[in-house]
Amino acid sequence: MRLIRYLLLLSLAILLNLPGCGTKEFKEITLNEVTHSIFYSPQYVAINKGFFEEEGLKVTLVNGAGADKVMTAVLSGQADIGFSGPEACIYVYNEGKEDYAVVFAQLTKRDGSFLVAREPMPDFKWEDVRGKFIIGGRKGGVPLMTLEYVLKQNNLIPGVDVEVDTSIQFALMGGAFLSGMGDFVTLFEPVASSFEKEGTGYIVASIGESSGEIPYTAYYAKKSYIEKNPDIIQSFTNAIYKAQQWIEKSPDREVAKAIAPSFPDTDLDLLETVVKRYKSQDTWNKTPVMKEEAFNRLQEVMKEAGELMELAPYDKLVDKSFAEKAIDNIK
Amino acid sequence: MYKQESEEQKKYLQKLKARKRLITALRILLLIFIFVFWEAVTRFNWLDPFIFSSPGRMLNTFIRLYNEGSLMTHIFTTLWETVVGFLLGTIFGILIAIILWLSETCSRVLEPYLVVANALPKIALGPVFIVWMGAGPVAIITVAVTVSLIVTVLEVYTGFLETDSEKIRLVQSFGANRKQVLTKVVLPSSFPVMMNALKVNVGMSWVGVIVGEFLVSKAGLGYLIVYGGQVFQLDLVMTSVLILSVLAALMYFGVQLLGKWISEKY
Amino acid sequence: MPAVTVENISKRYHTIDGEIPALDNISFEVSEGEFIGIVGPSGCGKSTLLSIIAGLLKPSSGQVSIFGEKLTGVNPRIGYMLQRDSLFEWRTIYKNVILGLEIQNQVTPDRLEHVEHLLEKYGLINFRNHHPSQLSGGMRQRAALIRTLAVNPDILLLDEAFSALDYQTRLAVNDDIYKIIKKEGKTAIMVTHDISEAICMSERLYVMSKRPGTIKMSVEIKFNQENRTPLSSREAPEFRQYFNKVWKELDVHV
Repeated sequence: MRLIRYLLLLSLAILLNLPGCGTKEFKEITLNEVTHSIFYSPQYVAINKGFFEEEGLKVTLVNGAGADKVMTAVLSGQADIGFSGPEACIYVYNEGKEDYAVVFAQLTKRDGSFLVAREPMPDFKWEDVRGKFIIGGRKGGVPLMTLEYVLKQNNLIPGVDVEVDTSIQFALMGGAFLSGMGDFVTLFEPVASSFEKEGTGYIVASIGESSGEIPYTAYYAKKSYIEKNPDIIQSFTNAIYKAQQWIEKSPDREVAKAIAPSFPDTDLDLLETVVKRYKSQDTWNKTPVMKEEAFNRLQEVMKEAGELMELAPYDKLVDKSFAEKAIDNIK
Repeated sequence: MYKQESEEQKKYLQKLKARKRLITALRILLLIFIFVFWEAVTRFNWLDPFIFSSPGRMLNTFIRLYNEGSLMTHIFTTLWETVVGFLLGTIFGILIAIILWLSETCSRVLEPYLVVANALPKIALGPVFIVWMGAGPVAIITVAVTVSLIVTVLEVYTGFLETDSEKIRLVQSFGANRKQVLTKVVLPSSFPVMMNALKVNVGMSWVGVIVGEFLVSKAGLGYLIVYGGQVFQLDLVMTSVLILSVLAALMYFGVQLLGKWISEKY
Repeated sequence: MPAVTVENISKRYHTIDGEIPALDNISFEVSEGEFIGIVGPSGCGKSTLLSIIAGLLKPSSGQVSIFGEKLTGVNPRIGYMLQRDSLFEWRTIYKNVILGLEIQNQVTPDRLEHVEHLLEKYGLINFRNHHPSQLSGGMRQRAALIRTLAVNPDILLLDEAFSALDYQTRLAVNDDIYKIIKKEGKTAIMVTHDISEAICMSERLYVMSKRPGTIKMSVEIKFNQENRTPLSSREAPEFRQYFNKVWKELDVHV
C-alpha cells in the first residue's frame, strides 16, 4: 500500500515537472536598469519577493550604466524593458525616431541624489554653497539638471555664484571627490552613505527634497514592443504595483531584508538607514501612474537647462492605461 | 644618364602617370559613392537615419557647431591633448628603449614587467588616473601616454636589438664606446622601426585621448560623442567621429612626411 | 722591432655545456711591411685569432704586442677589415669612409685631405655622394678599404675580406688591394680559406691545424718576379708547388 502511494506521488511529481505540463509558463524578459541603487528598492522587492514570478515573468536584470545605454539597449532590441530617467524617451522622440519608446510605469518621483560635503554641516542651507565648487554630473543628464534647478530656485546661478563641474562621468564622480576635487559632490545611494561611513564625506542635503516632485525613473519599452506584448507589459506593471504597495505598508527593516539579496556587499544596517531616508522623503511612487503635470515639470527642468527646445506631448510618450489597470486588478 | 629618351621610355613613363591618375580618381569616386549611398539609404529609410545619421545631417551639425563658435574649441581641445600625448609617449618610449639598450642588467630585470605591462589593458586604468590626478586634461593625456608608451618601448627596443651585429663590430674595431655604437649605428639603423612606432602611436594616442574624454571632459570631440549619446543626438556622434577620422588621418600623413623629410636630410 | 708579436696565445670558450678550446699556444712575429697569410680548415679559429690581435677579444692566455707595446684593447694603429663591407646604407660614400675618423675624433683638415687623396687615387672620387646601394661589390670593397686606411693604421688585418665577392671581382680586388697596401707601406695579416689567394698575396704563409688551432707549418713565399702582383704570382711556376705543399698540410675533411 505504502509503496503504491509512493509511486503515485512520484509519477505525479514527474508529470508536473515535465515541460509544458507545468501550471505556469514563464515569459522571459530582459530588464536594463540605469544603475544599481537602493534608490530603486521597489524593483528589487518585486524581484526578491517573487512578484514578477507570480505574474508569470522571469526577469533578467542588466546594469546599463547610463540612461543613454539603457535606451540604446531597448532601441536595439537587446533589452525588452528599459528603466531609467524618462528624459531619454523625450530625447529620442524629439530626434525623430519613428519607433520611439513609451513610458508605462513610474517608480521614483524625486531626485535620488544627495549633496555630500567634506565636513558635517548640520545647519546646511543652500546658500552655503555660494562661491564653492560642486561636482555635479554630466551635461544632458537629469541629476545635473535637477541640481541646477535647485540652485536657481535658491538664487544661485551656476557658473556665477557657484562653480559646477560637468566634466566627469557618473561612475567616477565619487572617485574625483576622493582625490581632492571640489567642495561638494552629488552622489546616489549607497555611495553617499558609504562615504559617510568611511568618514570621507557627509550628507548635507537631499536634492530630491529640495527640488519637488519630478518623475525620475520609469519603465519604458519601444512602441512596437508594447503593441505586440501588452500582456507582458501589464504583468510587469502589476508586479511593480504590488511591490509599491508592499513597501508602503512594511517597516524599514523588512524592506532592507527584502532588498538585501540584491546588495550583497552592503550591510543590513546601512540598507535600513538608506531605506528610511528615501521613505521619509517620499521618494517612491505609490502607484505606477505618471501624471501629466509631473511629466511636464521634468520637461520644464530640461528646458531651463537648455537641453530641450520643444515640449513633447504627454499622450504620445506616456501610456498610463497599464498602470491604471494594475490599480484596478490588484485591490 | 642617357641624354635622349627613347620612345619606349616615354611611353613607360606616360603609362605610370596614367595609372597613378586612375587610382586617385577611383579613390575619390569610392568616397563620393559611399557618401551618396549613405545619404540615399537613410533618405529611403532602409537604414534608420536616427541611428546612422546621414551626410546631410552631419553637414548641418557641422555648420551649426561652426556657427555656435564651439567647433574649433572642441577640435583644438582634443587635438592638443592628442599631440601632447603622442609626443610624450614617443619621446619617453624611445628614451626608455635607449636606457634598456645601454644597460643589459636593466633590460633583463625589467623584461617580465614590460611584458605584463604590455598585456594589461591600460585603458582600464583610466578611472584610477582620474582619482589620482584629478579630472582634467592631465589625466586624459596620461591615459594617451600610457597607451602608447609600452608599445613604443618594446617595438623600438626590439628594433635596436636587431641592429646588424657586423656593423656594431665594425665600429667597435675603430674603438667606439657604447654611446658611439648607439649614436652611429643603432639609432640610424633603427630609424625605420622608430618611424613605424610613431605611426602606430598616432592611432594609439587618439584612442587614449578619446577614452579619456569619455571619462572626464567638458569639451573636445570625445566629449561631443558622449554628450551626443546622452541626449540622443546621434548626428553629433557621427559628425565628431568623422572629424576625428579626418584629423587622425592627417596626423598619420604628417608623421609619414616627417619621416621622409628626415631620411632625406640624413 | 716587429710590428706584431703573438706570444703563446690560447683561447678557450666557456659555455654551460663545458669548455671549448679554440686556439692552442700560437706564437709568431710579423715585421713591419710584411704581408702574412693565415690559412686553415673551417672552424680552426683563424678569425678568432685575428679578433684577438685586433683587440676585440681577450685571449685566455698569452700576449699580443704591437710595436713592442702590450695590447690591452682596440688599438688605433690596427685597422680591421671584415668579411662584409658593412657600409652604412644611410650614409653617403664620403660619410662612410670618414666613419673611423669620426669615432676616433680625428676629423681634422689633414686627415680629410688624406681621405680626398685616397678617394681620388682609388677611383671613387666621383661617387662620394652616392649611396652604397648604388655601387658595385668591388667598389664597395674599395670604399671599405679607404675607410680602414683613413685612420692611418700601420697594421691591416684582413678577415676573409674578399669572400663576399664573386670570383672575377675577387681577382681584381686582390690585385687592387695588394697594390694599395704595398704602396702605403702597411703591414698586413690576411686570414682566408682560399689557398690561391693566400699564396699569391703573402710573403709568408701560416697553416693552422683543425680545432683547437695551432700553427702547423710556416711557408716562406718567394717568386722570381720583379714587382710581383697577385695576378702575376698566379702565373709563376713556383705557384703550383706552394699550392701542393699547403694543400697537403691542411687537415681537410672529405
